[in-house]
Amino acid sequence: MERNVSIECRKPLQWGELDPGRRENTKIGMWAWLWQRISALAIIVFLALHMTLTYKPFVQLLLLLAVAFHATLGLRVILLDFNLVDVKYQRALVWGLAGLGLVVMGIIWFSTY
Amino acid sequence: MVQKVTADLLIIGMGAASMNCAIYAHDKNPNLDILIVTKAIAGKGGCSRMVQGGFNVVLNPKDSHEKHLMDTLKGGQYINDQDLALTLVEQATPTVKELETVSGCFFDRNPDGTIHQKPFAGQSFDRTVHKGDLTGIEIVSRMAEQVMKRRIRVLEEVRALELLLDASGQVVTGALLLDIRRGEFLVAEAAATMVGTGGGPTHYRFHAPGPEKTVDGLGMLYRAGALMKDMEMLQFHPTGLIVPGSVVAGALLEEGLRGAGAHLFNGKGERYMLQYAPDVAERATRDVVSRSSYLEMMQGRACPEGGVHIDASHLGADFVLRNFPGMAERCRQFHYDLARARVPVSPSAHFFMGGAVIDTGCRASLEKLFVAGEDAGGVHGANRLGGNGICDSCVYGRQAGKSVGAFLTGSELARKETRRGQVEELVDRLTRPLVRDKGVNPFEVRRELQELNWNKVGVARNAEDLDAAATEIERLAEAVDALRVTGGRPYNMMFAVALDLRSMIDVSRMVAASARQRDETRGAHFRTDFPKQRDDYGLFNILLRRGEDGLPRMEKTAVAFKHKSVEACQSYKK
Amino acid sequence: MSIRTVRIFRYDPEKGGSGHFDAFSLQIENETTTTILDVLLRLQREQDPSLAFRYACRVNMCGSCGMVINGVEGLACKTNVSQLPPGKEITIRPLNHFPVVKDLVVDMEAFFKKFEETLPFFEPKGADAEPAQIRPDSRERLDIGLSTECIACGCCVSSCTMCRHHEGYAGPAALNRAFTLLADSRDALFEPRLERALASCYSCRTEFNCTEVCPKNISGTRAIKYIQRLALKHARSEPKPAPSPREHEAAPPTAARHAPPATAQPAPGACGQAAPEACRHAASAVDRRTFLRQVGVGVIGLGTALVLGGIATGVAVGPTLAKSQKQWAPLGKLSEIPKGEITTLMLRYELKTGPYVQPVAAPVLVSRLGESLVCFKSSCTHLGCIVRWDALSGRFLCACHGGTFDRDGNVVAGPPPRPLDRYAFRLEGDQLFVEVG
Repeated sequence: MERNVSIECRKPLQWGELDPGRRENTKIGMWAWLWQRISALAIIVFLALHMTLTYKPFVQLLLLLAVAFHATLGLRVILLDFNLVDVKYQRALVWGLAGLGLVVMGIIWFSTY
Repeated sequence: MVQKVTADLLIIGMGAASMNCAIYAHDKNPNLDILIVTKAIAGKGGCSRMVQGGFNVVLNPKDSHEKHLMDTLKGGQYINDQDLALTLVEQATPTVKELETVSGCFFDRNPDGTIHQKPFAGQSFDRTVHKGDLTGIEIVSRMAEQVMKRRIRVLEEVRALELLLDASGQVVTGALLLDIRRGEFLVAEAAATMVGTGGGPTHYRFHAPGPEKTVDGLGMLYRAGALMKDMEMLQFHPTGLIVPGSVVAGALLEEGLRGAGAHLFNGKGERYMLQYAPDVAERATRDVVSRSSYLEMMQGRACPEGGVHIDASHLGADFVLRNFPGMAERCRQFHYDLARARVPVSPSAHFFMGGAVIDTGCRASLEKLFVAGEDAGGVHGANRLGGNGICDSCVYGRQAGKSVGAFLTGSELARKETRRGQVEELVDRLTRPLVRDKGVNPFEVRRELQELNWNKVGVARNAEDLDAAATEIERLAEAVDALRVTGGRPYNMMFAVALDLRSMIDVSRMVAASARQRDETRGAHFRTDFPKQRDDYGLFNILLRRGEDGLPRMEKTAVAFKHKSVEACQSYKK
Repeated sequence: MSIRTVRIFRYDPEKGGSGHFDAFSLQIENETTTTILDVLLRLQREQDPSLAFRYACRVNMCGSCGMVINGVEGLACKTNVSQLPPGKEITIRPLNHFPVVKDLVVDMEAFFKKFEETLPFFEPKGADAEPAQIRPDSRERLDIGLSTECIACGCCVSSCTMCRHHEGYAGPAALNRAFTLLADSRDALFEPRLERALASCYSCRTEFNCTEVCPKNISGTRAIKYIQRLALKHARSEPKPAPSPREHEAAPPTAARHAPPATAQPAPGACGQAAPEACRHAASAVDRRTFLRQVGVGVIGLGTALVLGGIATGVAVGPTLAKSQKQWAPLGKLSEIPKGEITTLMLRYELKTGPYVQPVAAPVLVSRLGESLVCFKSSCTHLGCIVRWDALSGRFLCACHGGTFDRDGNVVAGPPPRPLDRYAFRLEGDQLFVEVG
């Protein structure tokens, strides 16, 4: 764009750069995305631990937690992708599914041990 | 040396009129090199985008162009250019259809799938096509896409400052531009120039258009020596929202509210419109309602916020929220509840019925110059009907496009040479505020001018105030010549205000001078010293042109009743 | 009445640099009627005229005044001071992902370039003179709803983290426009638009940032999901597969709107007027950056695969390869094992195989019938079921398949192929150890 040659633009600011207030105002959809990624990494770690330290209840609890978290957040995306839940309920969906995941996990846990 | 750009067709402004002109000129001749310059981001500036209510058009077989024409003439109090008014109503029908079929607009529908038309004030038939209550977004967004599709060049944030003329002073050769981002001047030369900047009377305290619309087009046309008409006819919209201390003040609540049956109350809680217009009450035309509101306010019956109240609550909250979601949201932002309570409003400077004299092909009085939309005058006479505004811009933009497309052939494709020295003189003069060490603050001058116009050349005028205003305007004109702007060149908004003021002063001159010439009340022009409409006296247009001293030279010409006689107009009942 | 501190991002193109924040103090009469745009206009008028920002309509219709206010994208004209946390500092900075021209003004060229990628313009199917008759309660109009009211303010693109990471991503606004056109039965460019839009859709990570910030309450996410489902439906109804996107690698056209002013070339024929094929653009060579990126992604992917594969292999194959370590595990005290009987003792120890440690508990049948001690493994040599001593018959019996062993562990009846296995054992004083592993 020729008319901008003689004017030096600052390179684009990025999400979170010089951006006070961003983190407090980050909404749940973003966190859902981030936590699904974090739980994926956690699953790898806990799975490895589970394999080496077999039958350590603490490791199994953590692994189950991570799997439940990851699965519910994955379900959220599937439900949204296929329009099984209207996107306007996306916030409730995160809480609802996370709650459901915890309950299912609890049942599995207490019925096993 | 000032950088130069060339094109076959230079279009100034990027509202509905300009974009329609570009689209139709391109479709007429795809080889035309068209250049649009806009002072905003492409498709974001201009008043067309802010259109709320809708687009008057005859689509229903029970309606007729005849009725639309008569409504327009009656609304304009008979001084319309009848050729233009007739073209407006006749071409509105194909224009709206092409907006749907060519540009892809989708207006609100009836349950059976045909286009819905809603009632507006001053009309004998419900003929206003709309998209919710924010119609302008649909029209302008879709048109901007069509401009993009046609690969028409757009220079955004480049504002036109002055039309350039050849040595004879009769041929427009292009325009002097300012690249706002760089703060550098540019010269655009073209074989034809179309001015479609729109008006925007922001030189009033309360104004409906956004503050970035600054009568640039009217000012440029005047300074270039184009013939102007009816400049005293400046419409005040009756329902500008009152928001104390905010730039939003004056933003409109759309006419459809009154069309749908909203009531107006003065500070004492009386429905005063029943006295001023017993038959139609709030559905009277804008001039009548604004004037009535203003008189109520002047007589001490203003509401606590300083205006009057509009009340739509009796229509039912559901109805209001469903049909006027944009308006309800606008009110809610300032803690007003349009659906359930009264909202304070005031008349707000809104639209120029006057402007450059054009023919139905949009050709103005200078050669190679085309004007359409609010910059052109004569279509609406003394008062514009709600819904005829975007109609005017689209119809005449389309007319201009077709007309330019036909005009730019053969030898007309040659660009004329700009008078030597004109650019250098202008650049020198316009740069002065940037280099002065001492001078006047443009923000101050703008505020003074807004107050002056509001108080002395506002809704109600009289000879004494107008004379005083004329003197004051000249004082402010001197101040404008002594402005000082600080800061650098890139994106200097203070400099922008300084440049705006030149046009604001010239337009203020035109309005005040024309208003002084019309010793009667007609349409939007209300004279307290001549409170009656005088059809034995007032059936004339005031033509004006800039004189050597910068002041307008005026002459009155009788209205030509080409298609409808004055008697037919007077006796027309809706 | 309140006094607020307003921190505004400043960048002067004449000085360059990376910008900084300036703090202003402003007295505000009534926060509910004061928008951020009012704040900026007043600061410009009263304190610093060099302050630059962009605005036009001031009533949420033009989308010029998008900026980041306290960490959230929004229109300055639509954000009232009263909506922000009371008494706190207000921070205003330009939108993300766009070059900053000056202070809060950004260059939105990139935004409209991205718009162009999804062919965001209506192309009529036929030369109909009459507007289409479409019922407002028809599926397509209900789907489209108010999504056509996008004012292209750029807030969604600024809020989207994927617009930074995915260079070819058209972003929520462009995809929303693509969606409204794809859903519109009047439009003729369905196929090429779907192909282009779809390529972008998969960059969406369902973060909903765009939906949260849109000043017109339009959901970019909804549009993106809609396009994805549309593609599925379309693929099912389409017998032949859609052409590979690689053949039509989208290279945005040299945008005429940004052509340098001096080159006055006649505009090429309108894209939409030619056949849709003409709208497809020539393949673009993979540039260096893209190449490096692809290599980077490859390396990271390969690394991850190796690590995970290694763990999996180790877990699956490791135990079969590694020999368990031999060890002596304590079984009990000799003095506590009665003579002339066969006693079942529980053997508890930790089995170590490679890196794995597993607690083991196994019953051991200790015979003191004869002179010497014999420690039989309690698992049947047939299929490993637990064998128990039946004192009555004087036999070891396996419950599973009727395997029977005599008191010396020899097979008497049933399927076991060999006698019972025995542990090697040793005595350290009174303590009995058996060898395991």
